[in-house]
Amino acid sequence: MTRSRMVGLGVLAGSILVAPALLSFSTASELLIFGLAAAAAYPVIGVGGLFSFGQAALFGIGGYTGGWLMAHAALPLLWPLLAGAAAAGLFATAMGAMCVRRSSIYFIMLTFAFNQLVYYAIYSWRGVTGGQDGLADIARPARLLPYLPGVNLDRPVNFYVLVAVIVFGCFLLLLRIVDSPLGRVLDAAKQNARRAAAIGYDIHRAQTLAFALSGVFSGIAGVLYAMLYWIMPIDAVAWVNSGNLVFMVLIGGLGSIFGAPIGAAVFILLQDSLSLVWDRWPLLFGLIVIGVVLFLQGGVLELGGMLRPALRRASGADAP
Amino acid sequence: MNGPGMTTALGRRRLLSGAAGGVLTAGLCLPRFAAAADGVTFGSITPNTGTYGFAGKLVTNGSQLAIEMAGGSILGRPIRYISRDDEGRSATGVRRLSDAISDDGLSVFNGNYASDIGLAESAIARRQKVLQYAAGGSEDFTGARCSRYTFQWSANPYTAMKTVMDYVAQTHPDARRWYTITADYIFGQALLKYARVVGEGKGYSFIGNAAHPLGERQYTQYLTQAVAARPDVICLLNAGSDAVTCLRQLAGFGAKDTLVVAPWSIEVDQLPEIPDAMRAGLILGENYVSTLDTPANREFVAAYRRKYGTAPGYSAAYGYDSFRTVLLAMERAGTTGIASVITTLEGMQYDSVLGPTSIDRATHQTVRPYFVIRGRADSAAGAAGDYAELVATGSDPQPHALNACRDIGAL
Repeated sequence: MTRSRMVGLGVLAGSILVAPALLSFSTASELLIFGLAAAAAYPVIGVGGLFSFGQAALFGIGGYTGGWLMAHAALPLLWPLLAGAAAAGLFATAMGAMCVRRSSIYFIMLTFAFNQLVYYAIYSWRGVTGGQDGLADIARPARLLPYLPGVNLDRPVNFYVLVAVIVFGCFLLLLRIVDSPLGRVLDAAKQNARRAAAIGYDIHRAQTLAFALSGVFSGIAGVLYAMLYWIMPIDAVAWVNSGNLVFMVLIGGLGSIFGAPIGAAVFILLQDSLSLVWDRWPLLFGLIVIGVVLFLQGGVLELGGMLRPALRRASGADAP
Repeated sequence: MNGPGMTTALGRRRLLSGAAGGVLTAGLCLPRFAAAADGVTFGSITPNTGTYGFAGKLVTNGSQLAIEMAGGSILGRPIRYISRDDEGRSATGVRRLSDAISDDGLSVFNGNYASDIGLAESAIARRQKVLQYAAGGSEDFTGARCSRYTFQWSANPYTAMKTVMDYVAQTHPDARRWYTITADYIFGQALLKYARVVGEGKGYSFIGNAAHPLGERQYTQYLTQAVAARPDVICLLNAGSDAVTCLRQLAGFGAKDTLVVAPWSIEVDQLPEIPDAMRAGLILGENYVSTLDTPANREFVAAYRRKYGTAPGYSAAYGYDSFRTVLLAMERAGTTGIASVITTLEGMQYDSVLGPTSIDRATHQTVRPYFVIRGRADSAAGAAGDYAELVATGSDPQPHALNACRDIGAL
């Protein structure tokens, strides 16, 4: 692992430890959960260059599957997590297999259509999903694994620790995936799909696999989200949420997977802070997003990179 | 090598990036208010954006006025007021509520104007032991999902439908074939359920129902079906911008002979947004009208006019009266402790803006009247913009057999 990766992981771990001192447990947990959802989108969007507007569907399938199990059966957490990850992974595989055969605007529209398909399926299947009102009465499991003693996950600190451990573990796996040969094939296909195919890589298979893996981790994020407020709202599956996830990746920076959780944190905290300032805060938020897209195309990570030389110069000037 | 032009371009880019970064940093570092140690924090969790976006500011106006009229303190403790935008989404509402409880020490809140968000928030109120004063048309607040920590200010949907349909039965005895257009979530479904309960008692036939998602913008497909069914009454079981948009589009359908009834759709404040031809004769149900001649309402309306220059509607009255009621209960309890305040509120009898009012001990439903108004055309509205007249009042409570609150829980 490179030095920059080690530094990045150190900063991430430090942020996870410090966050509860600065924010409420619920906000800190939500940042981590959306950080994972954004990081799960990164192999597809950042590495593969495939701007998927179907990520909320994967997040929602995981959340509704895991949430339904937790609302109706007193199972250890392992089973809802696995079920959510598997359901989202399977759907993502099917979605990816069909969508990657088209490119540019057609790819985007296909992923958008899949998202709406899932949204209206959940909306219509009221008896199971709660329809527009969302899935309510989700109970956090009393045990994490079968045969192990129980943990009170209703205590905010316990839940935060659980989320932190799962998110950090998933992030390590995603980092491994991005650095793997699969990541390199996706990157090659992003730069020149024809050339990558000409030298023997099955780029459609690689892109489908990226979707499948993205689905698995998005599904895990969805299950954690269903536990966070004991409800799974249908808004989480709306296409707007897909757009939010794409923005989170963009705001963080497309150049590194470490940008995804940073983008998620900036996105959510900025919304929260601006909403305290002015009733019409979405106008300010829109201006900031436009500013980032126009002048900070490398995202917040690029800002850090640009500030580093200035800081070095400042520290050098201070030296005797 | 960096030439002069290069240096300038880089400098500008850095400047813009720095500005963007500065805005981001400033946004993230805005001070989070600390909870006042010796005070009590009241708050509103309301939509400032989305389908019910118009209501957020009005609820806030009424809430702030109630606190100001109480002198900004209760039992010698200062009252701090906060307002949070739920964006019309359950997930945002519960997160902002959770944060307000943990970061700001929120102990009493009014919310939510939208039933689905309010019900999601009631679960948080129960877990975090804070007092919720809800609005919205779902019966679940005081029914299947009743809670010791949640009180309902708005009328029960049974009371609303019974009042409006009684008026229609009196004034339009031949209007017996009803077509409903329903917002397809817990609010619209509650109204639909009681429209059928009350209507079947009157021998009405419900010849069709078009269910639409919350936040729908295109009603042509629903209105085409409704008009084609040739009903005597088109009954709108939606609210907020959904209802306004639906009525505007209905104006273009030319269904002039069809009576339009909206039992819980449009606030008085929104009447100017309705096309003149649609507004004239429109039958509307209301939770509040500012012309009520009660001592508390006269005081409220006068103060509201002084401060905001207009008469209050349902949203503002909900904000004002819910907080006024809690403050009254705190005075009677002699404490701001939530458990004691809840015990005092249960079964409390008092004079609200609506007149003599009580709270059902078993369900936490405010026992209160509901109002029917009739829309006027611009020509009849006069210079004061009086777009509707009060034509009926009813207060039939929900029959006990229809209430699903079996266990309201413990404190």
